[in-house]
Amino acid sequence: MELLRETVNNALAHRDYSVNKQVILPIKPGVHIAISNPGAFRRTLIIEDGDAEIPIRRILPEAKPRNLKLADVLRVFRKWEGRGIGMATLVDLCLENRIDLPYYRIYTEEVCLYLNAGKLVGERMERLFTSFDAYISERLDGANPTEEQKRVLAYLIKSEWADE
Amino acid sequence: MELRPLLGNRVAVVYVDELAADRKFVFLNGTAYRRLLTGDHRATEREVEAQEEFKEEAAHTKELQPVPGVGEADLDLTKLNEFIFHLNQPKPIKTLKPDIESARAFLERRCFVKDGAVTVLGALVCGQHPRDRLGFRAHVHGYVDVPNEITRDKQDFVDNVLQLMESSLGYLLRNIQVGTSAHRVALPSLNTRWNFCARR
Repeated sequence: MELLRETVNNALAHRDYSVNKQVILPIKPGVHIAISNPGAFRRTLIIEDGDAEIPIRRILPEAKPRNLKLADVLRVFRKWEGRGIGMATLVDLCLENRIDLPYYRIYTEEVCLYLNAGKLVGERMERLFTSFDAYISERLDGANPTEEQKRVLAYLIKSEWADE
Repeated sequence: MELRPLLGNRVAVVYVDELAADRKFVFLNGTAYRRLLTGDHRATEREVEAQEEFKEEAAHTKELQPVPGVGEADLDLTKLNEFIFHLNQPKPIKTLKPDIESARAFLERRCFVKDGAVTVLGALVCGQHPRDRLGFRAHVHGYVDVPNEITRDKQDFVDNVLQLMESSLGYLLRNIQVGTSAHRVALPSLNTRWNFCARR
C-alpha cells in the first residue's frame, strides 16, 4: 500500500501543470497498474543507446522535485518526503523480488509508469535459469546461483528485453 | 528614446528593458555579456552554464503560473487554514487566518498568489471549484481495462491536489484486490520501455 501511495503522490507532485491534461490510472487485472501523467523527464536524466549491441534505456532518479513549491506544501501534509526515493524504492522492491520490473513508457508530453503483477524472479525466469543451468553452473565454477544472483541476473535480462 | 545634449552635440538615449531572467543570455557573435555598472563584461563559460541550468529549472516551475481569471476571492479559507494547521505541527508558527485579506502576505510568500493573481499552486491546494478553474490539471481518470463494460469501474476525480491523492489511492486499492486475485499473473506484451537505473 505504501508503494502505491508513494507512486500516486509522486505522479501528482511531479506532473507538468502547464499541460491541461489529466492523470490516468489504467488497471489491467492480473497484468499491471499504470500511472500516466503529463510531463517529461529532463534530458540530462535519460541515458539512451538504442543502437548498441545491447540497447540501453535508463532513467536516473531526480534528486530535486519538479514543482518545488508544491513539494513544500505536500511535505507539510506528509504527502511527499522530499528524498526523491520513488524510483529507488521501486528498484529496491524489485531486487527484493517483491514486485516485477517497473518501467516507463515515454510519449510526447506524457510519461506512463507500469507496475506489473508478479515478481522479478517468477515462473518464466525460473524456467529460463533451469534451461541454462549447465551454462550458469560453468560460469559459477560449478556452484548454483544464489537467490541474490538470480535476482540481479533477472533484473538485467528483463531490462534487456524491455529495452529492445 | 530621448535626445540629450552632450559636449555640444546631441545624443540619442535608448532605454532597453532588462531581458527576463528566463530568456538570458543574448549572444553576440557567440559571446554573452553582462552589464556591470557602465561596462559590458564577457560572461564566463561557467556563468552561461549556470544560466542554462536556471532556465531549465524555471521552465519546470509551472505550478507558479497564474490561473487566468482567478483572484483571491476564489480561495477557500477553510482549506487555507487547514494548511496552516498542518504547518503548525509540531510547533505553532502561524496563526489561523480570519479572512483571505489578512492572509495576503502569507499567500504571496507561499506563492499561492502572485501579483494579485492566484497561481496554479494556490488553486491546487486551496482553490474553490477546481474543475472550473484548473480543468484537467485537477483531474484523475481511472478505469479497469476489462472487456466487460460493467466491471470497468470508470471513475473521474476532480478536486484539490490533496484530495486527488487520497481518491486516486483509494481507487487503486479498491481495484487491485480484484485484479490480483481473479486472474493468473501474466506479463503484458511490451513495446519500447524505459527502466530505472538501479542506483540512488
